Order: sequence, then structure tokens, then C-alpha cells
Amino acid sequence: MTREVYEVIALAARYLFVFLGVVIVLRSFLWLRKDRAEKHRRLRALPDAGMIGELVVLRGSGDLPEGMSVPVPREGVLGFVRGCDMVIPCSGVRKRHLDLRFEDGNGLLVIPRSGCEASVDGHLLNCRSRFSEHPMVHGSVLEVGDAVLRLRLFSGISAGRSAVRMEDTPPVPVQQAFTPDMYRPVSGMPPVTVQAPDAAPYSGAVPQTFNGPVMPGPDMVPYPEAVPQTCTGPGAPYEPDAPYAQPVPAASSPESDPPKRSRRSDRWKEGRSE
Amino acid sequence: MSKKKASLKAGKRLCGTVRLFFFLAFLLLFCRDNIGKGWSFAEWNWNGLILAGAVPVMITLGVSLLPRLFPADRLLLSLTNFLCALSVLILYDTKPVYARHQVIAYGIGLVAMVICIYLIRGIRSWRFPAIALMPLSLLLLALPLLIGEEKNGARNWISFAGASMQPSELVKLSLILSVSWFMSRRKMLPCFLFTAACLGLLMLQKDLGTALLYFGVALLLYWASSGNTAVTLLGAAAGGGAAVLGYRLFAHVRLRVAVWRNPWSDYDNSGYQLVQSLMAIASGGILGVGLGLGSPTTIPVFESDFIFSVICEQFGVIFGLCVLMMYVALIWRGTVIAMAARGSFHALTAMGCTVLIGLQTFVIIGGVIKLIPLTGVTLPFVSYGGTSLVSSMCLIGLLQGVASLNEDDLEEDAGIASDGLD
Repeated sequence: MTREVYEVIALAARYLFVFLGVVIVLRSFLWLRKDRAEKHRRLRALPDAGMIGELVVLRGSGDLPEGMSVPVPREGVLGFVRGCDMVIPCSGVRKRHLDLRFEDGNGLLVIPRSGCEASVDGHLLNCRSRFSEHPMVHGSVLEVGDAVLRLRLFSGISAGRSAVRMEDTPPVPVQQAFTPDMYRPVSGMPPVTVQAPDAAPYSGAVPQTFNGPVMPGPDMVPYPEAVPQTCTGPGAPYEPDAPYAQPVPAASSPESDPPKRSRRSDRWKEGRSE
Repeated sequence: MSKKKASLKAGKRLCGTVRLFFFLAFLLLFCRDNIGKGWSFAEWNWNGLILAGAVPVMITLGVSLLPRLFPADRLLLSLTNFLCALSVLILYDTKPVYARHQVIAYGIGLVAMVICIYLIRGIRSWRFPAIALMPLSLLLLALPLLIGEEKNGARNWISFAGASMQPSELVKLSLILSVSWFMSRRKMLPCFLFTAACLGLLMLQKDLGTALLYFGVALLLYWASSGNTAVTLLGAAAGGGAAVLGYRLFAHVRLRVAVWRNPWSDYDNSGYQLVQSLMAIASGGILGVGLGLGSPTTIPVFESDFIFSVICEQFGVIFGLCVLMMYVALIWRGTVIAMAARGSFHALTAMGCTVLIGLQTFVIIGGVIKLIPLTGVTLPFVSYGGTSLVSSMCLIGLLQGVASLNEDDLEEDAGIASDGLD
């Protein structure tokens, strides 16, 4: 090959190389777009992706009604402003009040920010406290400002120990499918008796007869929430020594029925939740 | 499932196009190497043909086989492999011995990338490594001041056993890891002290480009972790103030700014490099002068700082923009990975790696086209330099590690969801 022939070939090849370069860029961005669409599809099927549980409001305010659930991510900031991962619009809650961080096998660590305080199962924490000594586990109660919240961990999340323990649950057919009316009493079901563990940190608030959220055993209806004899509705003051109170929600309507997706909070399995 | 197949198909098409590009490019260089040699095959230079076969095969192995051996993001691998192969192509075009070194550095970088992936996946608590890396990094960064040699006005190289390396390229990684860990725990003072110490050592070495990168990464990580825009802007203003102070105090800074303002005023001395770069880009035009043609080697340090000018001269400004868009795609992907991370440490690490690659690309390309004053940093993956390539591959390894953790978390969620529906 001579130099002149090579020059002609190289000059002609410029167009091809530029064309291939543009095609490479376009295909890269197309791949990015398809990946994003695929990821969105996967996340739509997993609405609880990234969440380890939820904080159920036991006592709140106007914008934070009792019974409302606030999803809890693995790590996040709890505060008053919208930019926080967990928004608690309650008096006494600062803009960014505390950090929550979940550690496998340990629990949810509550790390108040400078100048802020919170209480976990009765233990007062501030920015100088040894927060690793008082992690939140399933059933723990968090008091921040005027709000009182209880943590519910999703199935499959391991937090070491639990604030309440299941024992001697009455056998109930498990074939009954989950219904969205999770706060309604299952007809004919007696209140579940749970024996609080000896080392329960919040034993003052866990009565002997516990009409609260229970861990279903293998023969139980998924997540039967029995309404207590004395039911306290929204607006009633929270009494730490009173039996655990469940709000009575409005009757469900077709519009308010949750979409049929696989939410972790909808499903419970023996031995998965702690 | 159809969307997943569409994604895989898009990946295969991209890799096919990349393989075709490099096969044709190396084939052309093979023809150039054998101009005037007739049909005596014994005298022919077969390197170009070997590379025309080997590089596409390596790209295929890199994108298809590697993800089967360890968890990897295929798109990141494709983009990285394209840029690394482009580096080998340009270096083979200009100085073939550099291409050989670059291939060896790529192999080492690949191993380093895999190590970084498994480090991110394997280490549960980064408390001890983050703390231990800080004094080690400062020691490494101080070595050039003690036993280093000066190159291109900066004393940031050390030599041992015949090989030379730039410690600041490796300390980048520890900066990201340590600062990310401390910021995820909201401990700002150690971050500030460590970054300030690194910047001080870099200023003493007169490595202003790397100092700019360290400062930019630390500042953006602070903003990402705290969300405090006011303090971030204050930090940026402080950085600007430091730059002005540097301009007044140091003569080489004043020279760089003067050359940036008007390189033609001293075109045969201090402005020669920038003038040659601008002329190379201009002579390449829209489509380039043609691969193997032109005179890219007239640009001083063409293999390192000004490799982007060589790309624009050979392939044209449109192709140069395409290379820039590849970096944009890389940064986009890195940002997506950072935002999908479940833990703040992993999110900040991924963000730090992405910001570093983006900032470095902006600084060097901006300097080469006279957008900003020129600094002595390299173009990630493309510039000649073993340490630079290995550290860039490590950054990709850290990103890949976080991406694989994200994927594991999603699959765990999907597994739990499907178990519950049984």
C-alpha cells in the first residue's frame, strides 16, 4: 500500500468513525434509559423497597393523626421539614430532629442531633448519649416532641430481640386471606394473651393482657388486630400505663382499599418477624 | 422480564458497535504501519492486526464474562472499556511503546477494580479502615516532598525499582472513603482536618490541579451529606479566596493564568503547549484529519494532559463531543448508583467517585480548550499513566461495588416479597 492510498482510505474512514462514535453515544444513552425503565418496573412491584418497617403514630397532632404509619428507611433523618426521610409535623420536633440508622442484628439506632432529645422505651437520649445501648426493636416506642410512635419492623428484618414476645397464641385457621381491614376485630376471636418478657425495657406499658399488634403464629390469621374493650379513638391522650390502644379507623371503602401489591406490611410469616 | 431483555439487548448492541469501531481503527493503523513494505510478510508489523483482534475480544470478555464472575454493572464496564481501548488506540497511533505500557496498566487496573468491588461488598464496618487510612494517606502524600522528583513543575512523583508513581492518585481513593465514612456519621471535624492536611501537602508539592480536585470532592460530599447550601457556598468562596491568594503569592500560578488569558503573547515559550493544542483541535475540524495522519506528536505531553486534543485532531470535534458524552453517561450512571444506595456511607462513596471523575474530566478538558487555566491532571482512563489508570479503575471498582450491593438489596426485597405471596 502506498501513502496516497492510505490517506484516501483514512479520509474516507473519518465519516465511518464519526458515525460509529455517534451511534455508540446514542446506544449508551438508550441503554441508560432502558435500565431506568426496568428499575422503575422493579420498584413499582416493591413499594416497600428500602424500608425496614414503619412508625405507627400512637399520639400525634392534626397533621399527624393517630394510626398513621410513617415508613422507616434503613438510614434517614426524622424531622419537621419536608426534606426529611420521616416527616413528623408535631410540636416539639425540630427541623431535623434525629437520625435513625438500622444495624442488622442490633436494631434501629436513634441518634438525636445537637440540642435535640428523644426517648426510646422510656430512656431519654440526647446527642451525647450512648445511643447504641438503646436501639429500637420491633414494638419499641419512640417519643419525640409531642409525638409518640411505635416501631413495626417488616418481616425478614432482623433486629436481635423484640420488645414483646408471642406465647400460647390460640390456633386460628391460616387460610383466611389478608384483608385491608387490619384494624377491625376478627369476629369470634378472643383477645390474645401475651406474656411480656422479663427484660422488656418498657414493661410499664405492656400489660398482661395485650390487645395490640401480634405476631401471628403458623395457625393464625395474618395480622389480626383485636380492638381492645376500651377503645381510645384519635385525640385521646396517650397513657403509658394504659393497655395498648388501637385506633378505630373508618370503614373501608373501595376507593380507600390499598392497591393489590406485595407490601411487606401485608404479609407475615412465622419466625420471620421479631 | 421483557424490559430486562430490552436492556440486555441494548447492551449487546452497544458492545457490538464498540467492537466494530476498534476493529476497523486498529486495522487501519495496521495498514499505516506497513505502508511501502510490499508483500514481504516477514517485514510487516503485525501489532496492529493483533490489536484489531485482541481489543474487541478483550471488550467482549470484559463486558460479558466478567459480570458472570463477580457482581458488576455492565454499562459501567462498557463505558470504561471503551475509554481504555480508546486510550490504547490513540497511544498506538502516536507512540506504540506507550500503548504496551497502557495495556499492562489496564490489566493491573482490572485486578485493582475487582479488589475494590470485593472490599466494598465484604467490609461491613468501615470505621477502622477509614481511620487507619488517614495517617497512611498523609504519609504517602508527604513522600514526594522527602524523596520525590520534580516533573513538569510539580514535585509529586516518587520512583522505586525503576517505576515511578504519583501518590496523590492513590490518596484520592482514601480521601473519598475516609471522608464518606466520617460524613455518614456526621463527624465533620476529622474530614475538615484530613482534607486541609492533604491540601497543604499538595500545595507544597505545587500540584494545584490535584488540590483543586480534592477540595471540590470534599466540598461536594459535604453538601451531599449535610444539605447545608449556605456553608457549602461559604466553602466555595473560601476556595476562591485561596485561589486569589495563590495567584498573588505564587509566580507559577500567575504564569498559568497569563497563558490562559493570552497564550499567543508567548506562543513559543510558556504558551507553546496551549497554542499547539488549540491548533491541533482547529486543524482536525469537524471530522478530523484522519486516523494515522496529522502531526499529534508536536503537542508537548500529548500522551497525557493533551490526549483530548489528539483525539479531536484525529477524529474531529464531533467525535471529541462523543467522548465527552461518554463521560456524561458515566457520571449519570454513577449518580444513579449513588442515589439508589441504601446506606449513607455507600451513597457518599459512590457520589465521591462520580464527582471526582466528573471534576477531573472537566478540569482537564476545560484546560485543553482554554476554558479554564490549564492544570496538570489527567483525563480519566484515556491519558497515558499507570497510576492514573489504576486509580481510575479503582474508582470504578468502588462504584461497581456499591451498584452490586444495590442489586443485592433489590433482589432480597423481591425474594421476601415473593416468599410472602407463596
